[in-house]
Amino acid sequence: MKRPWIITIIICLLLIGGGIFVIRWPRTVPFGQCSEVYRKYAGMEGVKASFVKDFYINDTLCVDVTVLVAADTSGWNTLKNDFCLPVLDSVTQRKIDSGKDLVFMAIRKKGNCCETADLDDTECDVRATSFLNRTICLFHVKSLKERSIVEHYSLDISINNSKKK
Amino acid sequence: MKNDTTPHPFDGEPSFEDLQPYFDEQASRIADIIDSMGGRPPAINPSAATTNRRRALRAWGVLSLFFLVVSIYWGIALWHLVDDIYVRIFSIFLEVVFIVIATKAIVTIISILRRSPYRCRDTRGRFLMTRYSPHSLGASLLSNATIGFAASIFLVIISATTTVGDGLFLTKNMNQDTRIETIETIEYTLNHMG
Repeated sequence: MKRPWIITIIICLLLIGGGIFVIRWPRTVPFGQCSEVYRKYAGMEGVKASFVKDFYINDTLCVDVTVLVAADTSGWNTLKNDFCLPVLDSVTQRKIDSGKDLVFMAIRKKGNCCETADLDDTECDVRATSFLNRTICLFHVKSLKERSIVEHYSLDISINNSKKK
Repeated sequence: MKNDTTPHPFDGEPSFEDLQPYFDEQASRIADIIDSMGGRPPAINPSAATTNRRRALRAWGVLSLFFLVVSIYWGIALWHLVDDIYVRIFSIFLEVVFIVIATKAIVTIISILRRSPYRCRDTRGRFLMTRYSPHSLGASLLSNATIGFAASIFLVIISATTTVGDGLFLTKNMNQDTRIETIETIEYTLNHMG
């Protein structure tokens, strides 16, 4: 008679332990939902939205990334307005028109596309905008360490490449 | 009894007046028995085995209810987790089957527990309670639950590992080309950030 209760208690403990495991290490079990930015632009005309959960930046770090690509001029104008992208000066615009891309990086508060994040904000979005390709990548970081790694990614790559030479 | 020579009160042709004392004596004995039982007729005490079965059924009923709630939550989580329509349909189908099995188990258990084992008999005269082995019912439910969960987890792993590149893609109408394009965009952006 006691066996069903023992089995029930064991299963309950396993399920509770599994729940704690999922909460403690959320990236191990993909239970996360899409970002709010993705959900906002998913069905929008003129904008192609993608969301990647746990994109590996390096061997140890993975972040969620929302990618927005403007399909036409109206979509690009919408993105520029929504994300408060800076108006480029004539010199920069000429460079871009000549085919030289400039990817601008900005740190924005989580959930707020226009407000700059504070230095000690752990959860924020690293926004990378390519004016030539009309794309915006939002890296949703959850700690200062992740933020630092994403910010200095290209610099680290350059350093590593120069060391190899 | 064959050797009993005591004349039976109904031997011969007794009159009502002759039988009256006999009836009075029997009625008095019955009244004494009822009084000794606290004024109520004796209750039927279920056997220990039946009681244990009822307890086991209750335990499996609670477990079934728990699995039912978890399966509903899991179905909702799966819907939000994957965006591929075919994976969604198949996983929800599995969850519906699993929910039906769990619900049926609960309904069966409740219907058994509500019936008195001494009033309900099957065609062979056996008590209804004894027909259902609680442990076989529970084991059947548990195996279905395990299969359902394992299949759902398998589906999730498949949808996660069939993506190209890194990460779990949760984009509407995602296909192979879109995945490659998205990865290239992210890598390009990372390499040119400044």
